[in-house]
Amino acid sequence: MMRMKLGIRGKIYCGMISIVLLTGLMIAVPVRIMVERALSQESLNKGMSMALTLAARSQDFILGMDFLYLKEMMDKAIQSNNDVSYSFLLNQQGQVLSHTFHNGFPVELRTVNSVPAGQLSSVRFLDTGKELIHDIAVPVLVGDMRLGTVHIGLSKTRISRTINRLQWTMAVLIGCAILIASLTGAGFANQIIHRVQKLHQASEQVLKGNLNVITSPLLKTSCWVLMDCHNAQCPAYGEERQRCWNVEGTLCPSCREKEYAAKSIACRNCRIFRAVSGDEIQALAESFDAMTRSLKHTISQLEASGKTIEVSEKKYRRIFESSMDMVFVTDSQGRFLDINQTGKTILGGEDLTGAADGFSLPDVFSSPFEYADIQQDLIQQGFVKDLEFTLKTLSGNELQALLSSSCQLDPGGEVLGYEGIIKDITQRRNMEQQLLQADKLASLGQLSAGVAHEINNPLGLILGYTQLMLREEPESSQKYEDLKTIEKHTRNCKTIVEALLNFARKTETKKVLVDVNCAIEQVITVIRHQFELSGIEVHTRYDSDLPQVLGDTEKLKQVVMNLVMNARQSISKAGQITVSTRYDSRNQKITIAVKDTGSGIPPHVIIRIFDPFFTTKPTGQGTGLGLSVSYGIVKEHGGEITVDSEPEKGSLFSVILPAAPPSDYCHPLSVI
Amino acid sequence: MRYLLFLIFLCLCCSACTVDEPPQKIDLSKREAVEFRDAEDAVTYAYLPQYSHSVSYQRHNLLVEYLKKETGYNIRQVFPDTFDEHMRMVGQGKVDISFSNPYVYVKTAYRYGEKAFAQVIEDSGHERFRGQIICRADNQSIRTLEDCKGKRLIAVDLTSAGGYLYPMGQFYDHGIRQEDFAEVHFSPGPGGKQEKVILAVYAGQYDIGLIREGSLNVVADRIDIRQIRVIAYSKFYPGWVYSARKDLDPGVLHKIQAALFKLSMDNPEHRAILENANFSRVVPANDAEFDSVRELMTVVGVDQDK
Repeated sequence: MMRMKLGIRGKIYCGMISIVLLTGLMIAVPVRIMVERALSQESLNKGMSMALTLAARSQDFILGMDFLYLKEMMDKAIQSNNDVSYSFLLNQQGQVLSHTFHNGFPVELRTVNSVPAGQLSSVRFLDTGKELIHDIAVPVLVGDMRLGTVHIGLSKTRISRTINRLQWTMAVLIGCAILIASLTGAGFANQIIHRVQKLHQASEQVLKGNLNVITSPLLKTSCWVLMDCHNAQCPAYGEERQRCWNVEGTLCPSCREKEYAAKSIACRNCRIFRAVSGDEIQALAESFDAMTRSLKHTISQLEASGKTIEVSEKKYRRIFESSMDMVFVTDSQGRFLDINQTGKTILGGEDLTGAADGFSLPDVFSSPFEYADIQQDLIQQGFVKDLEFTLKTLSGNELQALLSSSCQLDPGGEVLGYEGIIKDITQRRNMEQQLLQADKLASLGQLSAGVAHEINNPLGLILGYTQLMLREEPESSQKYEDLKTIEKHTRNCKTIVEALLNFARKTETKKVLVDVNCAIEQVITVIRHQFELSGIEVHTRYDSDLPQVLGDTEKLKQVVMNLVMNARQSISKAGQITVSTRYDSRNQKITIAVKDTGSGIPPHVIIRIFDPFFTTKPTGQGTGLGLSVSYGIVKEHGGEITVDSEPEKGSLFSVILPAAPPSDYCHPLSVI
Repeated sequence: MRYLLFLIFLCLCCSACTVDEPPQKIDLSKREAVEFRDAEDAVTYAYLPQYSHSVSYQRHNLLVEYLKKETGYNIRQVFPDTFDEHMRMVGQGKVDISFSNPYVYVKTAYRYGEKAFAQVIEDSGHERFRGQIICRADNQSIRTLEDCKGKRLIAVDLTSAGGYLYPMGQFYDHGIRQEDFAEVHFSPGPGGKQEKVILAVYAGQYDIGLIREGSLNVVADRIDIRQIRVIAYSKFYPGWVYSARKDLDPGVLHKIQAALFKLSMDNPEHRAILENANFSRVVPANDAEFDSVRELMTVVGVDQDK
């Protein structure tokens, strides 16, 4: 069950009543105990004295067996003192010589309190059922000889009555004190509660956002009155609710202008402070008002700063987000705290921040050693600039990138985190590679063209003379066969030389408007049957809106044939070859794609496939000029050829050619 | 708050506490009638109450216990309040063995046929003893017996030997008669008579007092006895005497007599008994040894029938 907590009023009541009650009890209890002890002791002393007197006086009467006198002594003992309930005398043998009881002597009383030999008295506390009695026993001694024992029974009833009266008196006094304390407490409590409630209401107003609250009551006297000050420039002048040490910028000669906290301490030595201070709730109210004023001022400053920060934040956020490079912030472990959209795009993920065991900066590096080196540089130098490394995306792709980063260190030299920019330079590197390849191929082409040109003429002469000699030789002669062999190989050489010349664009090209789809279909028609016999399916997917290109139909068909044949050779058993076309209207380019499901091209091979005479086929089965010639033809047509291959999954060759301008269109299929 | 309540509770608990030990339950409703009877076959022994009962008890209790042990009889000390009562009890047969002064013996022998069978030897070694006439040491008006004339006199008892008869005989020897004193008074009340005479003179209530020799030592622990001056001593007369009731069984008497004669200061046990009783030995005695006392009684004019 929930208990309702006591309010201040209740606590003041409880506190005052408890203090009075506790104080009263702390006084009453020891007093009661002391009084009871004193009364009991006094009574016991009196009883003991009486018993000793009886014992002393009864000696001769015991010896003289004067029972009358003994009886008189016993009776006088109880008559002389109201506390004495009984008295009796036992002789040496424990026989009762005299007693004050009527109707016989109580049997148990005879032996209940015997005095051992050598002891001068014995006191036993008895409960008769009707009253409590101290039985005092004193031996009657003559020298060392014992004549008997005198017993006095002292009732505690009178003492108890006295104690009870005392207790009641104290209880009434404590009750009166509690009543007075309650009334006084009520007066104090009302004063305090009224002011505390006012403060509470004001604090609720502040919580609701209303900072224009005033809780301080009107002052009875003010500094400007006490100081007889007429300086209207002083902010404390005319102030009726705030005492001067709570007002900033006061102009008293003794005032030291400081911030509020320091001022309030400095003011404690001022005589005005000593004269006016003392009301804690007043001080609390003024402090509260000062706090709300300060809060209001701070909030307005914060709002202004917030706006500035917001503008700045937006600006830098915009820069951050719109950067075409990856911008990131990490913690000391390299976990991404913030990363811009470009970074997410490069890395191929959206939720890259915050995860404790998620993708982090070290994971970006393809080689862990590379990251370790960079991290070491970062810690040593504080930054790295334009360091090229291989970036690994979430999907495992590798990109070439440049890293510029700085390291945030705390004063102790511990790493707090990293900030940096990663720039994706894969495309640039590819272009550079392509340029390099192009330069290499151009050099090779020039060299080949020179060589071919020099060889072509002798080969023509050799072929001419061989053919002349063949005419003169009978076909069945050995010489004829030898000459045929020379002719055959000379023709092979000539074919190679022509291919070299084609690569080096030294052959004549007749450019017309070509319907690429038709040209591809013609090539496919020739090879489809043969391929299907080998278990290779050939699929075509043409773009019906494919525009014509300006080029040499035969050379383009040769390109397609070369690519399809290469695809066929990459498929060892059954497979698929898909030839498709696509039009990129924005860039005015068409793409011929030849995709196979073959063995793919290893990375170390793929960079050399366009090199002349480079082949992976066994010696004698290929010249290594097919793709080189195709490359030359495509370049001759102003296009480019790319390859994308994945080992064991297949390759995709793309031939990108510029579409013929619409003005060049005449008849799409006229040249076929 | 809960600590406050605990403190208040503790105070209330303390206030409920009492300083007394827990009382012992006792039932006063069971009553019995009180009956006190003396043993009927007891041999009673009385010491003439020249001192208080307690002094008499202290002096003769060990002796009584000794006689009980030696004779095998149930001997019980009884305490007459006055000399007269002592004699009356002897006459009534309530006292079998009486230890009295010679004056009382002479009277009881005359009246009731008491028979003396032993006599004590005083601590001083004498068989006889004497009386003293005392006054305050600062009383300059009394220097001689002659000076006692017209003075207030207090004596122990009319039947006292050392405290009346012997010193009064001394006055008679010097021609001073009882009527020559301004006042003759005897110690009031029962017991303690010798001490009362000394205290009365010490207090200045009386000018002169008659006591037996040795009594001053009895009160030496209560008053400064240097404040008491002895004016004169009486002649020596027979000392205290043991007498027996005339019809006491001779066998009993014989045993008691033998036990008394057996007491010796050489025996440590007996020595304590004898020192307590203020004599050194008990010797045989016969009635004729007290004729000197009878003569003195005649001189002083004591009527044995009164």
